[in-house]
Amino acid sequence: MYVEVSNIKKSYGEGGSYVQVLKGVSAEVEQGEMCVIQGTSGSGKSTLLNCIGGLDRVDSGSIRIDGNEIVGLKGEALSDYRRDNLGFIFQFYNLVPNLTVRENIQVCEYLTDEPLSMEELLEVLGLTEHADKFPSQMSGGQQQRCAIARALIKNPKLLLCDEPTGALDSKTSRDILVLLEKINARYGTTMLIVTHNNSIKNMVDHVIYLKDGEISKNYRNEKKTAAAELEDL
Amino acid sequence: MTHVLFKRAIRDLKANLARYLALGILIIFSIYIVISLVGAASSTIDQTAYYDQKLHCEDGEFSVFVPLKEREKEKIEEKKVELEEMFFLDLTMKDQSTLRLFKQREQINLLSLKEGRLAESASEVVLERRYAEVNNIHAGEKILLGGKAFTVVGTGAVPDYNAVLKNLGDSTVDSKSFGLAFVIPDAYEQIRETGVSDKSEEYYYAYRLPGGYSDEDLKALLKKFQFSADAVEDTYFKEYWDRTAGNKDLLTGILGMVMPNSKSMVEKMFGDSTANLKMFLKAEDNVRIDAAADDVEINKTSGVFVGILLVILCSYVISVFVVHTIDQESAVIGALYSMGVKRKELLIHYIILPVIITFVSGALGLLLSFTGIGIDMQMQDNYNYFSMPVMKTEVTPFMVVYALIMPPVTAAIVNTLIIRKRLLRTPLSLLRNEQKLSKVRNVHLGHMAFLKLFKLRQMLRETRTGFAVVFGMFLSLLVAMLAVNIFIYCDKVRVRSVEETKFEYMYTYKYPSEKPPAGGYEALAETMKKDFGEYTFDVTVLGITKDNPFFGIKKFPKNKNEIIAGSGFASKYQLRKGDEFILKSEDGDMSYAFQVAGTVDYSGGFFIFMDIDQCRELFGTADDYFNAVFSDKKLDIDGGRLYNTMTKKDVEKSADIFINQMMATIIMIGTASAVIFIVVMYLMMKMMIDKSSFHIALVKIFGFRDREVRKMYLDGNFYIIAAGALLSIPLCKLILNYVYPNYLVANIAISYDNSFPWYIYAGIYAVILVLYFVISHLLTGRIRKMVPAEVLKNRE
Repeated sequence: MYVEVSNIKKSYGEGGSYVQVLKGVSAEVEQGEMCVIQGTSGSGKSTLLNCIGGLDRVDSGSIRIDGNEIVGLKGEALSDYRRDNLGFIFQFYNLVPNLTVRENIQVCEYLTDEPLSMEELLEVLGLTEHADKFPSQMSGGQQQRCAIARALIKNPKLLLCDEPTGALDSKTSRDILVLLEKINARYGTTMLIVTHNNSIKNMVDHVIYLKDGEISKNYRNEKKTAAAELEDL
Repeated sequence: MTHVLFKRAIRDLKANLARYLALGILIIFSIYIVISLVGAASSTIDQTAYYDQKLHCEDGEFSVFVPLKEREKEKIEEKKVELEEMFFLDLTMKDQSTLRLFKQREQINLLSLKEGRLAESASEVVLERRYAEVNNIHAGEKILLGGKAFTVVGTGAVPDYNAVLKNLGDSTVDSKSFGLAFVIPDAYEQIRETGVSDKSEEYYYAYRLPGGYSDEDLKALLKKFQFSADAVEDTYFKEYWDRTAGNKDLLTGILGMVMPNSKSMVEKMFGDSTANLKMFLKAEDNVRIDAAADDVEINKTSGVFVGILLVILCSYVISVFVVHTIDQESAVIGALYSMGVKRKELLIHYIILPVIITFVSGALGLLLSFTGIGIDMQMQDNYNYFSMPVMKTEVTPFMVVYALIMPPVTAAIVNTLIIRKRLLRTPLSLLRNEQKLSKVRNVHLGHMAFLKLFKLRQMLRETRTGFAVVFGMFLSLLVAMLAVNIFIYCDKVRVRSVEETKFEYMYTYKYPSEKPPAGGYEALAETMKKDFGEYTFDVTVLGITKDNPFFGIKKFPKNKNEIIAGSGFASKYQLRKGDEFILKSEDGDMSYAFQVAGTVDYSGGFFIFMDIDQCRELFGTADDYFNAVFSDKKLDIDGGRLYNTMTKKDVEKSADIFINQMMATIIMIGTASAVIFIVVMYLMMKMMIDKSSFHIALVKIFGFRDREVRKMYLDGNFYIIAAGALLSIPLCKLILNYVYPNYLVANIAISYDNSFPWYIYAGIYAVILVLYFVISHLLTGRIRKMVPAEVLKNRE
C-alpha cells in the first residue's frame, strides 16, 4: 500500500472545548489511486488530509507513506518528506500574488531535481497563454489550474487536494476534475481529494466516507464515471 | 527558487514603493544625524589629541610672583621637566578689545598657522585666528601694539588657548574683545618696556613632564622656591603684601616676647605665603585646553544616545512591517511551506529586501553626513567658537559599522527573529492565518448603540496594531522632543542668565584694598570642588553681606553649615531644602559639609551663598577680608588690583553664545527628527489603515456610507493616536528629564530646571493631531477612491 493510516486519533481543545475530531481512523490507499475523502462539515476529512500531509500532528496512531512512518517527524525531516513526496492543492489557491503563473510554478520547480516539463504542464493545464499573467489578472478556475501546476511540477508521488473545486462554479469545477483525472492517468500520481461534493465520488477509484471522526464507508468503485460526464457538480 | 522569489521581492518593492521609500528616508536621516554628530565630535576629539602631541601641548602651567631664578630652573630641568616661559602682557586696543601678547613659543604650546608665517622681525606679529577673523584682520594688515605698528604676518592657534578665555573663571569666549598675539622676544621686550600693558606682566610657565615625574612632584618642588617681596614689581601686590603676610616678621617678634615657639606658629598661620608659587594648574584641569574636544563630548553622547534610540526605532519599524507582511502573506507562506519549501529558504527570501534597503539607505545616510550639511556643519560651529587648527574629517570604525553594517545586520537579525518565530507555526496555522486568542478582544461590551459598539470592538480587535503605532510614535517622539529639549534648555541659558544677573559689575580681586570701594558690596568668594559623575566642577562659596541686593536673599540661615543654594547648583546636584552635601577644597585636602536651607534663582554657574562673616569664619580669614565686590554702577578700582571684572553687559553678550554654539546640533536633530517623526507616523498609520481597508471595502458593499465607515474604522485610530500621544509626551519628557541632565549635559557647568512651559506640551500634542489628520486624509482618500470589488479581489 502507498498510504497506510492506522488507528489515528486527533483532538483539539481541552476541558469544555475538547473535541475529538478523529477517533481511530484506519485506511489504505494504493499507489496511483484517486481517492476521495467525503463527509459532512466537521466530520474530520480535512484534518485527516492535513495529518497525512504532515501539516497537523496526530495524538496517536501511525501514518506510513510508501512504507515510511511520518508520525513523529519534525522540522527538517518533515520538510523533506513534504518536499520529496507531496503536492498540495488548496481551496483558495494561495498563489504568490506578485509572481506570474510561470514564476509561481517555478517556485516549486526548484524543489526537485527532476521536475516535469514546464511547457508541457502549461499546455496540459491550458495555461500557456496565461503564463505571464499575475493571479489577480485571472479567473478563479485559471488560478486553481495554476495552483495544480505548481503542485505537479515537482512530480509528487502523492497529491493532496483540499476542496479543490470548493471555490469554483460547476463548469470550472468539471474542468479541474478532468485535469486531475488526466494527470492521474498520465503521471500515475496518487491523489487524495477532500470534498463535500457528492458527485466526485463517482469518478475516483476509492471512496472513504467519514462521519463524526470515524470511517463510516470505505469502498473501491468497480465502475468509474469520467469526470467530463459528472453531473450536479 | 531564490531567483524566482527575488523577482517577487523586486515587485514587492515596486508595489510598496511609498512604504520602502519612507523606511529608506527614516534610515537615511537616522544615519545622517548620528554620523554627523558623532563624526564631528570624534574628528574634533581625535584631531585635538593629534595636535596636542604635534604642537607639544603643555602638561600643565604655573604662575609665580617673580620669575624663577636660573638656579631654580636648573633644579626643575634636572628632573627632566621641559619648561618654557609663557609670560604675557595684556594690551588694550583702539576698539577696547584686549590682545594678550606672548613671545613666540619654541618648545611648548607651539603655534599652528592657519595662514601666513611666523613673525621674523621686531615689527611682525601673528594673531590668534578667531580674534583675527572676528575683527576682520588679515595677513598683511597693520595693527598698533604698544603704540608701535606691527604687520600681521600670519594667523594661527595654540593648544593652551583652545578656548580663548581671558580669565580661567570666564564662562564664555568672546573673540571680538579678547585675543592673542605672538611676536619675537625683542619685540615683546620693547613693548614691555613701554609700560603700556593694562597690568603688570604675568609670569606663567608651561611644563611638560617626563615619565615617572608627576604634577604633584613638580608642585611640591615649586612650593619650596621662596621669593622676596621686594623683587616683585607689582605695586598692588606690594601694598597687599605689606598689609598682610609682610607683617609676619613683626608679628613673630611681638609674639616671641611671650611665646617660645612663636615662629612656627606664625609660619603655620601664614602657611606658604612666602612661596613663589602663585598658581598651579594641570592641563586636564585647564578649561582653556582641549575645550573643543570637551565641548563636543555632549554631541558625541547625544549622538550615541540618539543613535541607540534610532536603532531601536528602525528595528521596531522594520519588525512591524515584517509582522504585517507575514500576516498578510500567511496563507501563501503556509502553502509554500506545505509543499516542502524550507524555513531557511523563506527566511532568506524575506530578509533580502529589508537588508538591501537598509544597506543602501545606510550608505546614503553616510554620504549625506559627509556633505556640507553634515559633519562639516557641525565642525563649523567649533571653528566659529574655539581657536583650533584646521582639522580633518575622520572616518572612524564606529561610523562605518554604524552606517554600513548596523542597518543591514539589524534588519537581518530582527527579520530572522520574527520570521523564525512566525515560521515555527505549523503550515496549517499559517494557512489558516490563526491568531492567538486575546481576552481583551473578546471582552463582553454589553449593550450600546451599534456604531459605538462596532467602533469599540474594532479598537479592541486592533489593540496590537494600536500598540505598535503608539510605540513607534513614542520612539520617534523621544528623538523629536530631544531637539525641543536642547533648544529650550539653551534658550533658558540665554534668557535666565541675563534675568538672574541683577548686579551691573562684579569685581574679583587679586590684591584687595583695605576697605571695599564706596558703592560696592563686599563679598568673599572661595572656589571649591564637587564631583558629578566622572566630571568635577568648581563651586563658588560666596559670602555676601546682609544688605547685598543682587541675589534676592532676605535672610541667612542661622546654623553655621547651612547655606542658600543657587538654583543652578541645586538643579545640577538635585538638592532640596534639608539635603546635605560635601564640597572639597581646590587641592582636595579639606572637605566641608553643608546643608541646604533654601534656594535662590542663580543658574549661571554653581554658587552657594552664606553670610560673609560666617564665610570668613569658615575659611579662617581676617574679619574684614573680602576678594570680590558687587555693584550696580562702575566703581573706581585700580585695574592692577583686579583679577577679573564681569559686567552685566558681558553676561548679555555671552548669553547668546551657548545657544549659537548648539544651533547646528539643534537644527540638525530638529529637522531630522521631524522628518523621522512624520515618516514613522505615516508608516504606522498606513499600516493601521491598510489593515482596515479590506473591512472598509466589505462594509461599503453592505451599504454603509463613508461617514459611518469613518466612525466604525477610522475614529478608533484617532482615539488611539490621541490617547497614545497623551501618554507618550509626558513619558518621553520623564525619560529626557533623567537622561538629558545626567548624561547629555553632564559636562557643562550650567544647570537649569529641565521643564517645558505648558504651551510646548500643547504644541507638540497639536502637531501630532494635525499630522494624524493630514496623513489620515491622504491615506483614507486612497481608500475612498478604491472600488470595493477591487479591494476584495486583491485580498484573494
